[in-house]
Amino acid sequence: MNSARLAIEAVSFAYPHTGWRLQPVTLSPEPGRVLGIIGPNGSGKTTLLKLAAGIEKPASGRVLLDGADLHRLDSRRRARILGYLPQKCVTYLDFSVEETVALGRFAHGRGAGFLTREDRRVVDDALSETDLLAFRKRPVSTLSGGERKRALLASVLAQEPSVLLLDEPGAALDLHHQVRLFGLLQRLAERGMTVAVVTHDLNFAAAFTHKVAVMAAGRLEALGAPGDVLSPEFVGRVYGPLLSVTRHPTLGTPVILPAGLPGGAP
Amino acid sequence: MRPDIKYIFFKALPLAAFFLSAFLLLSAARPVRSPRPASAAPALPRRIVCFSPAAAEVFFALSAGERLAGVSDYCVYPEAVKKIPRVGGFYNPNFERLLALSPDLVIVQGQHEKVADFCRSRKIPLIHVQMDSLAGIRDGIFEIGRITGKAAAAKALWDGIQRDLDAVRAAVAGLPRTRVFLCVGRSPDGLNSINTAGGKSFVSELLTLAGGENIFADLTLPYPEAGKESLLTRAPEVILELRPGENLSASRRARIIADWDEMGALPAVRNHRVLILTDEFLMLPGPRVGQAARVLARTLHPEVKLP
Amino acid sequence: MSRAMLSPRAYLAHLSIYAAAAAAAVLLAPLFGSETVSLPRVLSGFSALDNMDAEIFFRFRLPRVILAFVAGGALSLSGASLQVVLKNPLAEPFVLGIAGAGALGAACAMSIPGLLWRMGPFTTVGFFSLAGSLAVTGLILRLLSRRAALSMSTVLLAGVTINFLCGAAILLVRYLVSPQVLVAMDRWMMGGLDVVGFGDLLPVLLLLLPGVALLLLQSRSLNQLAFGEALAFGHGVDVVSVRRMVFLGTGLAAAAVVSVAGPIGFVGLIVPHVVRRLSGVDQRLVLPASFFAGGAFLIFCDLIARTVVAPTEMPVGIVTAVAGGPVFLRILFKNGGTHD
Repeated sequence: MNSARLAIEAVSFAYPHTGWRLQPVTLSPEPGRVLGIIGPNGSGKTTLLKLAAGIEKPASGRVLLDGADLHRLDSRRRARILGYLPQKCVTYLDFSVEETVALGRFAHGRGAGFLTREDRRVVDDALSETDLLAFRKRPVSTLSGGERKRALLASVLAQEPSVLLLDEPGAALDLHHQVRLFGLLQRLAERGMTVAVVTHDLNFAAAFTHKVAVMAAGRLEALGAPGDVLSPEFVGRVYGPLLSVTRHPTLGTPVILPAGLPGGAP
Repeated sequence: MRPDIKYIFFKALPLAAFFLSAFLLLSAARPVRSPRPASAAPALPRRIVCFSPAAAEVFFALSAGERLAGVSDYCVYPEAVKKIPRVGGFYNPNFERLLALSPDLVIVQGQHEKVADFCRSRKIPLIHVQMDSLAGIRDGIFEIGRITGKAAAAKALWDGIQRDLDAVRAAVAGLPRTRVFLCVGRSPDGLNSINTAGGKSFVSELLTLAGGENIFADLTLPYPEAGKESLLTRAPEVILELRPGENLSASRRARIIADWDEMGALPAVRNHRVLILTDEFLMLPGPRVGQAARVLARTLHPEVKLP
Repeated sequence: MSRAMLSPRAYLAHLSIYAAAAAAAVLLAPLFGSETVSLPRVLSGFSALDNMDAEIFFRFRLPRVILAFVAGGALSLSGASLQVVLKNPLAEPFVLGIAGAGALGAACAMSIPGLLWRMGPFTTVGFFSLAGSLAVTGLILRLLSRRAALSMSTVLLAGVTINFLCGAAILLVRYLVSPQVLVAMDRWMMGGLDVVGFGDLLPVLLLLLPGVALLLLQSRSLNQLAFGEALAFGHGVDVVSVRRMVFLGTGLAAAAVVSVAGPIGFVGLIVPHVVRRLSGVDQRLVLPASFFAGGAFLIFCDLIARTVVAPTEMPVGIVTAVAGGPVFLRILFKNGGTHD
């Protein structure tokens, strides 16, 4: 796996109707590292990821993938390097789990797109990485929300990307599978992949990412190791009061907990 | 408080509009209210509204045209009928005008629910005539004779028609019957969805009388769509395309005939016997039915002598 | 509940069943009609004038069956593609306003004096209908190219509105014309496959076949839209181009059908659903299968239309609904109908 580089260079964006703006952001997730993108609601995490994935076009600045402008790249070629899991996915056609995962081979296949032996191996790997081998024949519509999310993640993994952008991949997952997910992300990074994950879960970001990028009000507020960035003062400033920051008893990473209710009620 | 622009738009204007329209409605309703809400027809109705072109023709044939207060948009014969106020067509009867004419009798042809309902609700007497066959023409003429108190004239009119029809019958008697395909309508751009006349229709009745044989006489619907395969196997000698009331230029006429070249296997097409008739009385079962029979007979048998 | 992945073998097996059904329909339907023709006599001579059986078979039945096949196939295929692109199970080929504009064009040609004439195989009715449908297709494509982020529900609403606008314009035309033209207009709206000879088919096929090809080429990409445009984009699909191609293909195919056969309803809505119930959701199979199944279905409906009430005929649009509706309802409720 080559170590492709994603470079976000002074990228800004504005939503035409609401007037919400993303101030210019410059950010280069490192290969072999998991980057957590965190921040309060409406801070611009998802917008930043969409810009990085090429779903939205920046108002200014540019996104480079292996040195080439993302929007000039052929979409199949882009998809062989960059995988993107959106935050929300509808289910309109009810494929089985393995068919869903096989959709990720689109950029690699030609013609009618039937799977080669290599394709099957990749699909099986993706199924086992996401703990879905037992579900492979099940229609997606019969899965729970978390299982469905894992199936879609598996389809992105089946692209064999070297840059992986995930938007709230753990949102519908139970705690066990969230931990497994971050374990998977770590393993992928160890193999040289560039991983950027948007999450609202500060504790997972703090415990299992190498770096966090903190967004606040359309601005990149901070970038660094979670232990350095997530000080009590910083969390209070960015997220607001009623949170307290302690240390994880075994991992030693920051842990953010609710500190009480508004008005000081018990 | 100063009345602001919003108040004017959202409160004052709609209110004013409401009162204005209510006033207009009330004042407009008064003069057109029928003076007598009697339901039974008066002995001799004098303000008759007639929705049937055939029935309207009968009024004039009985010299009772002055009884008509209103006629439908489709009434175009005789010339005098054009001066009578119009009350709309089948789809768009003009009820306001109908009310304003304060009729003491309304005549409709066959089913005409809109007008029938309206007359019921306003208690205006209504008569249905069923002038879609020779027998129906006779009944219609006698009915209108009774209404107008001209029973004798009605009898004379029907006797005259019968004399005309008998003359035609006699003239074609013994002649070989021509096998005719009646085309009463088709898509304007070619030979798609061709409608013909079934055996029970008025035109088919006339055709038989005039020495023709309707190749689709076995069909029970009045104006069904003819299948082209059946048309081919039934092999008509003559195709009569009826386009009543249409004013065709020579080139348009030639194009209509040329449309039939697609069915070159038909004897009628091969022998150039595709004929177009545009007389409006051909599909109008009224007092001119004798004339219609004569036109058909002359078309099918040019050799016969008719008085 | 489990389902196997579509292998090339299963794909060919499924598709060959559909193709065989379609071939059987194309070959058998011309043998039946309101009149009995003897096959030996049909084959004995091609000189049509003195051989009525051959005349009926070659100039009246065969072209009609072929038109029914391509029209039914094109409508089903368009419906299947649009249902995915618009993410709406109620989508059908005419949902973008194509039928409305086509009908308006035809109504104008029929009723405006001097607008009705023939140019070779085209009549102005077909030509104006085609012009109307293609204009609407162009309008939708233009909207898409100016705003790539246009949501599909907006496109759907625009199409519905265009249909309404055209409907109102048609009502205005209807109000002004004579009763004879009214009858012809009503008949046109019911749809019919009443063609004579192969000359009428050629101009239709010239538009219809490229549209069909364009749609079939999108089948792999349409699969990708199963979980929304964002994931499809991530997987490497040029979503904007897929939409454009589907709208263009549908526009060409549906416009061609409407111009020659009128707006035949229902085929494009139900056939794709039936195919999905029978053969799964993989569009690589669903699209060609819908083409074959839709073609066979319309041949069957037209066979009913031209035989059941012989020697008269029924508008085929009535038969598609009457024959297809109950069958569709049964399939809908028998196979669960609980999730989609």
